[in-house]
Amino acid sequence: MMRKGIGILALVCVLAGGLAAMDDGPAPATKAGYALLNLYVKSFQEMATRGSTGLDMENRLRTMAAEAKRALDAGEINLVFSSRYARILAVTKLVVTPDESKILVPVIDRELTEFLWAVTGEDAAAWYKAGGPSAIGMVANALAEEIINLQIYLDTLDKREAIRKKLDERISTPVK
Amino acid sequence: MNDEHRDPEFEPIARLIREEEEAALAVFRRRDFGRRVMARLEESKQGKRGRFRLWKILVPTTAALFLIAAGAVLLLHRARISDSGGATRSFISVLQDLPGLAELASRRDSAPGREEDIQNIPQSIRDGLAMAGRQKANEEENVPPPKRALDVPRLSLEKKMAVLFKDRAIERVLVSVREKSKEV
Repeated sequence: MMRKGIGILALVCVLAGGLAAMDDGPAPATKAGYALLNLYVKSFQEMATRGSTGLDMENRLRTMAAEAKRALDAGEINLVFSSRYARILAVTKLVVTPDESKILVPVIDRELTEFLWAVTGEDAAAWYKAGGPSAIGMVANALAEEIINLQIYLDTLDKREAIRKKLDERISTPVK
Repeated sequence: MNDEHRDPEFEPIARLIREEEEAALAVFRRRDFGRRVMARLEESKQGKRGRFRLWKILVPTTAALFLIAAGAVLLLHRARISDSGGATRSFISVLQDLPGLAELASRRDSAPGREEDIQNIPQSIRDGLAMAGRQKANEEENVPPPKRALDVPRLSLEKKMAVLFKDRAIERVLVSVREKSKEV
C-alpha cells in the first residue's frame, strides 16, 4: 500500500513537473516569426486551392507586410528576419505586378535575378534562358527555399545566440 | 546447598545470599516484570499499527490533493492559452453558481433595502464578490479584439515543405495571377 502511494506521488510529481515545464510553444522572440511564415504559406495554400486574383494577393501581401512591421516595432522579430521576410514579400509582389508598358522590366529583372542568385545560386543567364512560366517557377522555388531558410533560422536562433554569448565570454576573459 | 558447603564459616554467607535472592524474587513478583514486558510489547505493536493506519490515510489523501492541484494548474493553463479572461470568468461563474451567493446577488438586485442580509455575510466573501463584479464589468467594457491575421494554424517544417515543394503552391499562384492580369 505504502509503495503504491509513493508510486502515485512520484507519478503526480512527474506530471506536475511536466505541466510546469509546458510552455506555449516557441519562445516569444520567435513566435511572431513562425506565425508570419505560417501566414505566407497558408495564404498561398488557400490561393492555390480556391484560386486568386491580383487584388486578393495584394491584400494578403499588404496584411503580411503590416503584421511584419508591427512585429518588428514590438520587438517580436529581429531585423534579420524582418528584412528577409520583407524581401520575400517584395519579390512576390514584383512577379505579379502588372507592367503593361514594360517600363519596370529592367528593375524587376534585376531584383528577381539578384534574389535567385542569393538564395539558390542560379545566375541571371539561366533566368533569361528559362523565360516565361519556367522563369516564374525558378523564382517560386527560390521563394520556397527562402521560407524554409527562415524557418530554420528561427529554429536555430536560440542556439546561435547561446554560442555567440559563450564566444564573447571567452574573448573577454583574459588569458592566464 | 551442597553438603560440602555446610561449613560453619560459610553459613552466614549462604544465608546472606538466600536473603538477597528472596528479596530479589519478592521485588520481581511484586513488580510483575513479565506482565509489564508483555504490556510494553503490546503497546509497541499497537503504536506501529497506528502509524501504519496513519500512512494508509495520509498517502492517498496527499496523492489526491496533488492530482487536484495538477488538474487545476492544467485547466488554468489551458484557459490562459485559449482565452486570457477565461480563468476570471470561470471564477465568477463558480461564485455566481454557489446557492447562497446567487441568492444574495438576486436579493441585492431586486431588493436594495435588505442591507442587513448583506451585512451578515463575512467581509472576505463580500470583498471577493465586489472584486469579481468589478472584473466582470471591466471585461464587459473591453470588447475582445478582432482576430489577428497572425492567428493562423501552426505548420510544421514538413507541412510547409509539402505545400511549397510538393504542391508548388507559390508557383501555381504566381503563374495563375500573372495570366489573369494579362487577360485583364
